[in-house]
Amino acid sequence: MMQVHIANKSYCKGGTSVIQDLDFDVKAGEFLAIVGPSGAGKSTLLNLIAGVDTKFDGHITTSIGGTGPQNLGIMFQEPRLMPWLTLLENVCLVSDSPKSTLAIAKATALLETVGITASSAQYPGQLSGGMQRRVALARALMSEPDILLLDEPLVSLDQPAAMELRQLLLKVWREHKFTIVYVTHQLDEAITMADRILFLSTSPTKIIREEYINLPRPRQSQDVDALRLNLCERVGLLSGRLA
Amino acid sequence: MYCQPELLPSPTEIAARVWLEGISGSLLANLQATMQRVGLSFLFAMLLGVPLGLWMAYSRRADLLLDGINTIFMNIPALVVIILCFLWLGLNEMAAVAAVVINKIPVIVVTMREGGKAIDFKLMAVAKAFNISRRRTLIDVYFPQLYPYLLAATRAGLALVWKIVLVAELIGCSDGVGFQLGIYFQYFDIPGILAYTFAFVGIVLILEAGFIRRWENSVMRWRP
Repeated sequence: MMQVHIANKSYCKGGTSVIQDLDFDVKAGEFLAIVGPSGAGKSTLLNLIAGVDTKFDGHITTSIGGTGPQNLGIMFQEPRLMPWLTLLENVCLVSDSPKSTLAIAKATALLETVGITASSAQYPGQLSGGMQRRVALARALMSEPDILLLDEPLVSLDQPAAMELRQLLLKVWREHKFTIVYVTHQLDEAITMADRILFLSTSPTKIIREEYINLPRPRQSQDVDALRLNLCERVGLLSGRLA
Repeated sequence: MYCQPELLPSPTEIAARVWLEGISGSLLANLQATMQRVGLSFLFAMLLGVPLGLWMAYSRRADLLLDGINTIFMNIPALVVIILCFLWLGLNEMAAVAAVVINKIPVIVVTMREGGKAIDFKLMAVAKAFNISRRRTLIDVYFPQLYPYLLAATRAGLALVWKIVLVAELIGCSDGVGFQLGIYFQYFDIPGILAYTFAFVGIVLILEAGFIRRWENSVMRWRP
């Protein structure tokens, strides 16, 4: 359903590659986590998939048998809301006709889904980081994505806020049945949420291991911890080097 | 001795003079001539300066090529440009407006170049990732980041244009506030000079409060 093949990605022509020979597939409806240390080119990879950065050798296809490219939704590391637009306008922005009553009704419903109880006429600057991320999630859902890309969406949130947002993500994933590609450097987060984890090496980025997580959902924290310790014993997985 | 009425006339005297000049029609005619020059030169300077500044923000080659020229033009005395324009283009409207535009463009270029460089590419990436149309990206993502710089260019620009237009009128025009002030200067007519000054300042304040401030409030509403 989505095939990623990146032969080479470097930031300047002939420069050192950031990503080299990276191949993987994502199945429809799958929750894929990509785990790697800081500087492993995770955000770069997500930018390539999102089409923000198109300068690389290789191809990324997000279509099944000629149904055309699929809708992408993305949450960046920072909320990246437009500070001059209200919460509602921010969510509506990604719609084809942001001023239509249809778009406004849909955005209002989405803001409700993600638990924004504050007035949607507020500006992002008036919200906490956690709340801003919820709005960013609503914006990502606005285009009814087939694939949702998440770039460390919980980073720099306090524990309770991160936990709530994690539950929320799992809830909307169960309801909407889209594919999720979730990039993180925290293994426990990946184990709690994903069906499959890809471990990345430091640059040039390669896949050093693939792990299916078969724990039943909802996942208990002791199971997650046990699996995490088990994986951590394989020295190097988290540092991005093969032992 | 600093308050001799011949040197500093009383407010009532100035007000009476404004009234007199007003009903005679000469105040309005001169103000109108000046406003027209201010409006035209401001418009042309913005139309040329804003794209030029943005171009220099994004193209290294343009920046290298034009930065030196821009600095030179910014530092040539306004008077030199005005005199040369009148000598080269003749004593006409076009020369007056061209002189002001040439004086004004470098300041706009410098401001807008900073504005262009301050664009947050993380926000532009959002527009790209979500496939937001070009038009919407400009209106909702790009321009809002430039508004503070456009406002600064407008404010500083208008202030500069007023001053230079008056000098140009003093030197090479046969109407306008600058021309009239020149005549009063020759007659040592201080009430006349102050009457024109205050009428002019009044218009500037109305423009600032009625137009620029309102624009600022509407585009900067989101700032807490």
